[in-house]
Amino acid sequence: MEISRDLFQPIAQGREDAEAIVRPSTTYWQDAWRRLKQNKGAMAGLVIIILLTVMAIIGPWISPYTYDAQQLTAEGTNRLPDATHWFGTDDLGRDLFTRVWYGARISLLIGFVTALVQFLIGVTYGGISGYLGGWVDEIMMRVVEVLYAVPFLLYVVLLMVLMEPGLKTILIALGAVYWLPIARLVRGQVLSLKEQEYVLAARALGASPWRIIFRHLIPNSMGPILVYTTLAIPEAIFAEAWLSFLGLGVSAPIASWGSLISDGIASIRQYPFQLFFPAFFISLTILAFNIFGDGLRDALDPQLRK
Amino acid sequence: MVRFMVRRLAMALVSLFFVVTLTFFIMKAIPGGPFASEKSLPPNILAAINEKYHLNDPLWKQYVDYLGRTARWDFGPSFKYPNRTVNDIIRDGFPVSAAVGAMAVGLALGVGLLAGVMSALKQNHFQDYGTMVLATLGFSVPSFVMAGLLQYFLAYRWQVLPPALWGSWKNIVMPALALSALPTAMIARLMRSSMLEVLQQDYIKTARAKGLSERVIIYRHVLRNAILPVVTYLGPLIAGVFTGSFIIESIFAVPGLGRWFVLSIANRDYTVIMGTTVFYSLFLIAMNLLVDLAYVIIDPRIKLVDRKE
Amino acid sequence: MLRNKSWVLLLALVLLVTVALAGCGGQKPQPADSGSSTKAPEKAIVYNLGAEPETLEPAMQIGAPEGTVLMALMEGLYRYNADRKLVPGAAEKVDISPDGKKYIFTIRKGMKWTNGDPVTAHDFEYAWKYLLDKNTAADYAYLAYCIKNGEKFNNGEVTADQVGVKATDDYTLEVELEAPTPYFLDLTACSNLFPVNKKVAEANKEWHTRPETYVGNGPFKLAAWEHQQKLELVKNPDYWDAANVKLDKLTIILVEDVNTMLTMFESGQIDVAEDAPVKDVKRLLADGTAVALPDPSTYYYILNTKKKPLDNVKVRQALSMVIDRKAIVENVTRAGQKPATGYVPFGFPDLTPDKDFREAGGALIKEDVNKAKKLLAEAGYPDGKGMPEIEILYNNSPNHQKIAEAIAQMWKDNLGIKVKLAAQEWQVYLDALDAGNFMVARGGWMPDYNDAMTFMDVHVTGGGNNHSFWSNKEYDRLIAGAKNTNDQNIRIKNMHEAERILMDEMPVIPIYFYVNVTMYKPWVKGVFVPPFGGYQEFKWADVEGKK
Repeated sequence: MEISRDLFQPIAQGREDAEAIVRPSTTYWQDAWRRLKQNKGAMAGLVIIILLTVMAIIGPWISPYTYDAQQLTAEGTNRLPDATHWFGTDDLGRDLFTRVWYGARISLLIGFVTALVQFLIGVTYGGISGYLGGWVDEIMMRVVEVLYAVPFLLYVVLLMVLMEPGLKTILIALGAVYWLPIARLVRGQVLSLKEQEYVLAARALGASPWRIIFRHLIPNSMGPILVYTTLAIPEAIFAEAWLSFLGLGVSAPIASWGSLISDGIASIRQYPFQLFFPAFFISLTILAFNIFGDGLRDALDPQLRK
Repeated sequence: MVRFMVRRLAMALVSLFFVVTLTFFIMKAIPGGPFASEKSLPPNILAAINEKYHLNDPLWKQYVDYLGRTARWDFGPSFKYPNRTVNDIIRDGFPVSAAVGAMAVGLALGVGLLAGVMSALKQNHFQDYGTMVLATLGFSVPSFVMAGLLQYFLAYRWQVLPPALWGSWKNIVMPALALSALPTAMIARLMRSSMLEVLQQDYIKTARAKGLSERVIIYRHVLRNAILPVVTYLGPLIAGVFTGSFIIESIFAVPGLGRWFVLSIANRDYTVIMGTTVFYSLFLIAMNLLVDLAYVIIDPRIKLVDRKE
Repeated sequence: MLRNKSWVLLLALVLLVTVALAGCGGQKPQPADSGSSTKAPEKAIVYNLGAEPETLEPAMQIGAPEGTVLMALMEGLYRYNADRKLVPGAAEKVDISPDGKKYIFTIRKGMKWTNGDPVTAHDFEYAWKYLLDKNTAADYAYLAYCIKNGEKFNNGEVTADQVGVKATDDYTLEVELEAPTPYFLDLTACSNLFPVNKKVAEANKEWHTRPETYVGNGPFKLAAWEHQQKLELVKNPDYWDAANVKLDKLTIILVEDVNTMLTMFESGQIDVAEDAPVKDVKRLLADGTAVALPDPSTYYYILNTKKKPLDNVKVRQALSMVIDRKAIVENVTRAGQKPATGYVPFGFPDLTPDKDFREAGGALIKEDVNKAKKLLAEAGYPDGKGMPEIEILYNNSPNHQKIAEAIAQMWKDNLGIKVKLAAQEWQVYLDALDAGNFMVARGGWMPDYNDAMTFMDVHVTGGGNNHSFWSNKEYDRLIAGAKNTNDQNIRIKNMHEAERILMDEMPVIPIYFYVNVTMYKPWVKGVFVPPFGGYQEFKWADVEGKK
C-alpha cells in the first residue's frame, strides 16, 4: 500500500498545545483565595468585618429609636446603658446604640473608599515612579513632596469654600492626600525589587514595563502595601471626625464613629460609657481588618504559591 | 553620587518654590484674614490696619515679598502675636517639639522593630498574635484619646507624672508616649510583614544551607533587607513628629511648634503659615533625601541615577 | 564588610541626632513648683488664663486673656473695687461739667511707674492719642471715639492737637467729649484706655514685649513671660494702694485644653480657672467648686431677613416661640445660664444705676407652640408645608453644635419644617455672616461698655454688626434719639421701646444670657469678675486657710 501524501491530514494545532499543561490551571487569584480560606485568623477577621457591615445596615432598624430623636430632659440625657437604651444615651438624650450603628455606616464607607483610592492611585503612581526611575522618578517624587508639604488644613478650608459639605467632599479631601505616603513606599520597594534577577529575566523575555510592574513588582510588595492600606482605614475614620468638626464632614446630627469618639473623650470623667462603645467597635473593626490583611498578604504572596 | 546630590539639591529648591507658591495662593484664596473678628470693625480702622500690614498691596507684590522673605530666611513678625517674629516662634518651638518627637520616634523604633522581628520569627504562634493585637490597639486608638487616657490615669488617678506644661523630663513622657502609639504599631507591622517576605527568599535558604547560625542570618541578611519599608516610613514620620502635633501639644500644654501649623491657618496669620510651611518642607525634603541615601546604603543594588545618564 | 560599617554608621547617626535633639529640649529651666509652695509664707495664686496673650500693649489689647493680665499690671483712671463698684484709681477725683461734655481728672500724686518714673497726666494723654493714631491701627480705637475729634483723628482728618484730651499740667487731665457719654467713667477702667509711660514708650517701641522692659503702674509687675507656658506676676511695692494688695505672687499659666485644666485644678496645680468642661460643669457647680456669675452677654440666633421665608415676621416669631429655652440651659449648656427673656441681658443700669434695665423691661419673649403653629399657617406654611428648608450656620465648636442640634429638633418637631445644620470653620463662618450668605446663624453679643446702648445700637439700619439686615425706621429713630441726649429718662425710655420693637420683629432670637463659670479653690478669696468684665480681677485677691 502506497502511503501517499494525501492520506495525511494536518491536525489543526498551534504550537501552544504542545506545551499544554494537563492539570487544571489555577490562576493567581484562585490560588490566593484557596490559601486565604485555609487561614483561620483571616477568615475570623473577614467574618467580623461582614458582621459589622451587616450591623451597620440593619442596626439602626432593630432599635426603636432614630439616630436623631432627642429626649431633652434631665432623665433622658446621659443615661447609663439599660434595657431600653442598650448603649445608654448621649448628652442630648439620643440613643447611642442607634447612633453607633448609624455611625458605622458612615465610617466604614469612608474607611473602605479611602483605602481603595489610596491603594489604586498610590500603588500605580509609586510603581511607575520606581520602575522608570531617573528623571521621571525624580519629578514624580518631587510632586508628592510638594503636595505633602502644603498644609492639609489649607486644602480643607479651600474645599470647604468650593464645595458643599458632605460625604463626597470628605472622600475628595481624604483621597487627595492619602495616596502620597503609599506612593513613596511602593516606589521604595520597587526601586529595590526591580534589580532582582526575576525582573531582569522578565525584561529579557520582552515583558512590557506595565506587565512587570503589575505582575511582578507590586505582588511582591504586597506586604507593606497591605499594612499601609489597613492603616488607612482607622486614619480615615478619625480624619473624618476632625473634618466634620471643621465643617467639611457629614453634618450634625448625623453620627460617625469619629464624631462619637471625640464627643466621648470629653465625657471620660462623667460618662465613660459614651467613649467606650464607639471606641470598642472602632478597635474591633481595625483588629479585624489587620488580621484579615495579614492573611491576605500571605495569600497574595507569590513566593508562597504552590 | 555627586551628580545625584547636585540634582537633588536643585530639585529641592524647585520643590520649595512650588510649596511656597501653592501655599501662598491657597492661603490668599480662602476667606478671612488675620484681623477678622466677630465684631465688625469700623471700615476706616480696618483700612488703617490693612495699610499698616501691607495687606492691600497688589497680590503679586505680596507674593514677591513672601518669596524674598523665604530666600532671606526672615519671615517677619506674626500678625496675631505682634510681639514675636516667625523666626522666634520656630527657634523657640522647634527644639521642644523635636525633643518630644525624638523620644517618640526612638520609642517607636525600639519597640516597633523588636515587636515586628519577634512576631515574624514566631509567625502564627501565640507571641505573634499577642504582639500584633497590641500593635493593632496602637492603630485603633486615636492620639487624642490615647493622650486623654494617659493623662487621666498617670496624672489624675495615680499622680505619677505632671499632667501638662513643660520643664523637666517628666513632661516629655506622656506626649511622647501618646505620639508614639501609632508609629510603633506601624513599624511593628511593617517589619513583621517584610521580614516574612525576606525569610522566604532563596538567599536565606542558601545561607541556612551554608550552615550559618540563625543569629547571623537574621542580623546580616534578614534585617538588612527587611528594613527598607520602615526606612521609607521614617522619612515623613520624622519630619511630621519632630515638628510637633497640634493635638498633643494643646492637650499637654507643650510650647512646641506643632500648634502653630494649625493655629496660624485658623488665625490666617499669613507670615506664620508661610514660615512654618517652609520650615516643614525643608525638613521633609531633607528627610526624604536621607531616606533615598539610606536606600543605597542598605541595598547597594538600588540605583537612584539612571544608567543611561 | 564596608557595607556593614556604613550600616552601623547610619544607625549611630540617627541615635546621635535623637540624643542631641532630646538634649537641647530637655535643658530648659525647671518650672517653679507652681502653686504648691505651701510652706513659704508668701501668698501665691495660680490662675489658668488659657490662651497666650496676643500682646500686653494697652492700646492693642482686644480680648479677655490680655484684659486679665493688663488689669493686674496697670491701672486706669477708675477701677472696680471689691464690691464691683467703680471707684477712682489713678485719678484722685473728677469734675464733670453740667452738660456732661467736659471731664477734668485730677491724677493721684506720688504714683510711680515700676521703673520709678512718676505717673503723670501726660502719660494718659500720650496713651489715648496713641490709641487713636491711625498709624497704630488699633482694633479698639473706636472705644475712644466719644472723645472730641477722636474719630476724625483716627481717620487722619485732624491733627493730634485737636483731639479733646490734654494734660494741662502734670496732674490735671482735661477731656472734652463729642456728646454726653454717661458710661465714660466706666470706659476709663477699660484696659484700652490705660496709661503708658511716655518716656519709655518713645524710647523703645518694643517696651511691652519683654518683662525686663515692661513698665506698669498696677498692683503687680511682670516678672517673667514664658510663651505658651506662663507669666509670673509679683506684687508691685510701689503701687499707690499696695497696702490693700495681699497677694505676693500671681502665676498665670497658659493651658488651653479644658480637660487638662480640670485635671490640673483637681490635682491642686491650679487655684483659679474658667471654662470648666461642659460635661463636668453641673457636678462642679453642685459641689461648690465652681461658681456661675452672670455675664452680661446674650447668645442669640440671627435670622437673615433678606432670605425667604425669614423675611416674613410671622415665620420669625413662630421660630422663636417653639424654642424651649429652659430645656436648652438645663440640659445642653448646663452651666446655670438664664433663659433669655429679652434681648439686653441682666446687669445694665436702668434709670438709676441701682435699677436693672432687663428687670425694668420685663419678659418680652413668649414661648407658645400653638400660637407658633397658627402664625406659621398665617404665613402660608400650615404645618410647615411648603416651607423651604432652614439652614443653621454656626462656627464649629461642640457647644454651638449641641445647641443647634437641640433647636433644629424643636423646630422640626413643633413646626414640621425641615432643618439642616452647617458647621463652618471660624473665618469662613465670619465671611458668610458678613456677606449675608446664610439663613439662620448663631450669634452673640458682648458689651463694650456699661450701658444697654452697647447692645441696642447693633441693630440699626446698615450697622456693621447688623447681620440680620433688618431695618426699622422707628427703631432707628429711637436709638438716634437716645444717643443724642444726656437725659437719662429719654435714653432709657427710648431703649425700652426699641427693644420691644426688636423682640416683636425678631430679626434675632435671643436664646440665653451667658454666665461666667469660674472655679476657685476654697482658700482663694477676693478674686472676682468686674461688671461686664470677662476677666478676673486679682487686686484684692487673698489666700486664707490654705493647708
